[in-house]
Amino acid sequence: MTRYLRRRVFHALIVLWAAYTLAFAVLYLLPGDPVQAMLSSGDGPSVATAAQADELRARLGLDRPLYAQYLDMVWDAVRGDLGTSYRTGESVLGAVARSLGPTFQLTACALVLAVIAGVSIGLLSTYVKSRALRSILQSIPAIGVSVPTFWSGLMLIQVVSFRWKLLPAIGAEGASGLLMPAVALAIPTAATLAQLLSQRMADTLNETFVTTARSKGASRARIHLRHAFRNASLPAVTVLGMLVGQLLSGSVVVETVFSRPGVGRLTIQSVEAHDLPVVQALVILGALVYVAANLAVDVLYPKLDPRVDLSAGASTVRSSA
Amino acid sequence: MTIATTPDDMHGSRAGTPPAPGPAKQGRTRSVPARWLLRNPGLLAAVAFIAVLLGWALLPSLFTSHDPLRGLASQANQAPSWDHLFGTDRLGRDLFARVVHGTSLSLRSAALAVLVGLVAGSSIGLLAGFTGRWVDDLAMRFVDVLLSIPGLLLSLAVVTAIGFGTTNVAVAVGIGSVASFARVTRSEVLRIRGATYVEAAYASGCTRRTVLLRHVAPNVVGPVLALATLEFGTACLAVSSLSFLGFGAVPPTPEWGSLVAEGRNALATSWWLATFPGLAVVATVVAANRLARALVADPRGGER
Amino acid sequence: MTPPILRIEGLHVGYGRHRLHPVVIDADIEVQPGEVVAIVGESGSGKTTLANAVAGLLPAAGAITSGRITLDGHDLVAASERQWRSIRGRLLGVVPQDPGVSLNPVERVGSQVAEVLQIHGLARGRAARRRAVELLAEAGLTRPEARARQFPHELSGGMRQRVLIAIALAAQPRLLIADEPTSALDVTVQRRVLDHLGDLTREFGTAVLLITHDLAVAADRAARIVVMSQGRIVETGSTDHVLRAPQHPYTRQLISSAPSLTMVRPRRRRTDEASAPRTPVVAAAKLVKAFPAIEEGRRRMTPVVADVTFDISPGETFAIVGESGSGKTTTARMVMGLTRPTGGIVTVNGVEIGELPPKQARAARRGIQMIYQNPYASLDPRFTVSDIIQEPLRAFGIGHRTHRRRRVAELVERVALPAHVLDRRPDQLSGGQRQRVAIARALALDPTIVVCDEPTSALDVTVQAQILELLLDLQRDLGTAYLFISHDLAVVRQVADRVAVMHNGRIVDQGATATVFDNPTSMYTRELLDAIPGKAHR
Repeated sequence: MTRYLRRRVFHALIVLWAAYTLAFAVLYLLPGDPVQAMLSSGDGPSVATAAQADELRARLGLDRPLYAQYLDMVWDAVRGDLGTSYRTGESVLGAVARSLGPTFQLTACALVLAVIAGVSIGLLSTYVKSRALRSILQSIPAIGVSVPTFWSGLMLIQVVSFRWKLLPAIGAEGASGLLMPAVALAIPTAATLAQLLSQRMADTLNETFVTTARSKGASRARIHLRHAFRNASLPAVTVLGMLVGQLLSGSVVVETVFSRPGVGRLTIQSVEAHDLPVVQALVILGALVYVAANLAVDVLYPKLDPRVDLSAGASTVRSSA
Repeated sequence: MTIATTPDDMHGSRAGTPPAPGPAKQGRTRSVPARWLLRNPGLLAAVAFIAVLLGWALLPSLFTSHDPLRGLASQANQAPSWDHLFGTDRLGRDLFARVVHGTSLSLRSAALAVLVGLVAGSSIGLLAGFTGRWVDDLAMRFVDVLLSIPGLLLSLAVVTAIGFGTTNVAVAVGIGSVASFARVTRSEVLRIRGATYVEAAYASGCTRRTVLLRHVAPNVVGPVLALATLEFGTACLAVSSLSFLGFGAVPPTPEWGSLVAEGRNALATSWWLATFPGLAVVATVVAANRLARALVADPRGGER
Repeated sequence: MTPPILRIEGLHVGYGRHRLHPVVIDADIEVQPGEVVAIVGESGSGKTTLANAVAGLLPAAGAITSGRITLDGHDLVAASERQWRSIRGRLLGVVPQDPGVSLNPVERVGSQVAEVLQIHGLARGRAARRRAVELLAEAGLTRPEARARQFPHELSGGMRQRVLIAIALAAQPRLLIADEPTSALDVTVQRRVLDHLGDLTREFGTAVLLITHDLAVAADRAARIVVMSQGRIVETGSTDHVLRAPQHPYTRQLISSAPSLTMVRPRRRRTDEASAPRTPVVAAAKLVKAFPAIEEGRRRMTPVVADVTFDISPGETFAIVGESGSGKTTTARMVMGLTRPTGGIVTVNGVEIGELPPKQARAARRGIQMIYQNPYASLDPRFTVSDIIQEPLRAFGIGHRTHRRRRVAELVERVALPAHVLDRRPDQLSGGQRQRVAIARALALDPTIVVCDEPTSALDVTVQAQILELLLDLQRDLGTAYLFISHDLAVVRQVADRVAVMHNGRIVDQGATATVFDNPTSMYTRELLDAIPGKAHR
């Protein structure tokens, strides 16, 4: 087990390093000059002279050969220094760390909502007997995954704040301020989860072992919960990493819509200002969250599915079909 | 080496009916798609809506007589009516006209994004799946890394590097979808490469090239196209999100995401401004996803 | 006379969402307490649907359209879902067809057995668990305490079927429905499981409705036989009567097609060919194939085929028989050049394919072709029949388009398919027709040898008989040699000149078919021969 864990952690570190390198390649190798972009990002035509541009370039260290920039940055990153922000001049790590709190609150809240809603809809969509109700329950997630988060957020504000005047549109403190953004953020994730689960429930209920359970005299509830749900939820667990990544992506939009501070706001500000070190750090943060979630799934999964044998190394699920 | 299991009685007509009489299924195949479409009202609606969208994109002036860019100050901030289906904005511009004229840009961006992802992703997947060994390992590690970065963040990083604008946004979104195309293509290639009929082709003397071109590629196309349709919906969402955030279309040009952003400032007074362009996105994505689901489940009900 | 435990009267079952397509038509069956009744039929005969109707397990698209089913005084057609719950498992147990997929993969087998007791309130908690272990022991599992704690994937197919038998009999039901209970198992395992099932039901006095495609299995196990064809019961009677004096032509066809029931004399090699020394078309010498596997935490090479040697002469049929895991398919694949041997040499038509550079190896393939087990998987679903048969010709650039088309038409005629199938796709053909297409493809290049890997085991018996006959006819006309891979000794006895019996990767018996069948030298061959069902009725 520990040997397995050590190998997984090592693998996760490799992925992180590769993500770092990829982010560097995207930001520094792709055509496009950040200095020009920064100087012209204000309103109106660029007034900067070539000399000003060169000076800025030298100040940011962008005039040195790329490999030297890369090696220095990796070395700094290993020591925990992700550079300084072009925009504010403060340490990138500090800026990112400061924005983590509100975003963590938001995404954790949204994840809980998404799991509750997704699992209930997914389960009910195969459990209810009425054909009409079932097709409604199946179309809710299909619409849910198609709604852009920025729009659902705005619609919530419009209806809940302006029409019904229940919650303030923006800037509320505490739980009341968290509710609407968390709901908006949870919708696509809940819908994805519900779709996956209802599909898998339908497939699992057609499997032969469910017939065996029926022939034992088991009730519908027992068949759905004890037999089908446990098997059907396994694929949903494996996409946890993806779902958390989806939430992080969504927080960029949601924090903008609700004018909340956090990682999302920081992302938008940094992209607008072509603040490469911060953007790079945020990309790495995204990868870190994904990798950590997957690591958790890898450790957790064998406890849920006995067919996965850790000592064999690769997580090979023996096909039973 | 499994021992004979008689197919379930239910599939008897497909399985081992005595060989003498001709198959009864003949003649059913041709008329099936049309009848099948009629029996699925949801799918029919999706196809009809996509047809309308194509009309909006190709010949917008056929659907609205209003000018999307110039409005009459006298008609500013009007709620939806027969004259202005979706209402007007603070400059008196007709919102329906702006949505219809924005279709082309929105769809084109999403299509470009899918094309980028499709070409890059399926090439990687095809190469990895068919070559195997270290090429496969390398390609899949690369895909792992791509997957580890949340899609929107990756797109934002690309936009930061190559600059703002609709084309750049589309390319950035496309890069974000490379990983899923690569994964699906590879797994399909592996599935088909392992199929008995592919081995049978090798056994009857076909070369690798023939097998790739005649057996693997044609059988991979279907699932990959279904994914492309699905990704079209996703791309639509991502492109409009980036536009909403202000990295896409430049203000006077209508585009669904940026129209919602414009409407955001008048949320309290003119509810229609943010609502309708957003609905256009929702309807487009729902229709594309419905079509994709239909493509995954083959109309002839064949083997999945 | 005691009333029957199960009475089916005028039962009609239909399938379809909009228009019901009749699957079972006017069925009448009675089963007395403790009696074993077999329903025999091919796929599409409606036998499984009939069983599902009795067990209340019809899929959503199926419905009983008319008729009555009475089980121990309960009207099953009118039973509510609640009533069904107290009937299933309690009065009526079901042993399903495929043990591989019939157990919940994430639950320990002990608690899956105990669940029946809990549902019907017969025992709970620790008592239920203890009783489950006893039931597993009664079902013939060794070390039942340990097995109860295992998950299904840790058990073999035979063991899983025993678990399912334990589940079905846990509440001592009055009737057991066994739907092809052993058709997914090897013959030797099949015999042991069926023997045990017979002992248990006799002991408990449970009546059994045995659903099977295998007339020989029915003959061995049942007191009465019901023959179904295309939804109708065509014949009912005591086992002896049905086998000795079949009334219906379909029953007669079924009996004559069943290889294990017909007394075919083993084929003998024609002496003139045997005496003339000719170079073998295939010679395998000391073939070894080992795969890396992890055993006790260590990587090791596990041999799947060890030291296999045989020759095949032109025009003869050489069969390799064995159960799953015996290495017979791996051997065939090495002969085909699809798998590289770890050791040993294969020569085909005097050429050692393994040593050739790829281009020449491909050229050498012309002389050796293959027919696969599953005709549903071995034909590209996008190709027309004409394209499929042409593929080998095209691959070797033989002839022009018109010439190839003529050759394809000729081949289609050879395998007795109508010319109009040429433009069809595989999914428009029946299983037997598909296998004929596969045979035509294999013959397109006039190979000296065709490797047949279980060519009929996915087909119904009557279709199997036709395909085997076709293969023998073609051999007589064309002089093609066959390497015939099969698990079915009865089939092998019908078609093979010489036989090799494989067990655990080794050939344990080899020789002329008659010799091996009449005087087997190894214990294993004897066991295999004993396990062939239908012995008493030959």
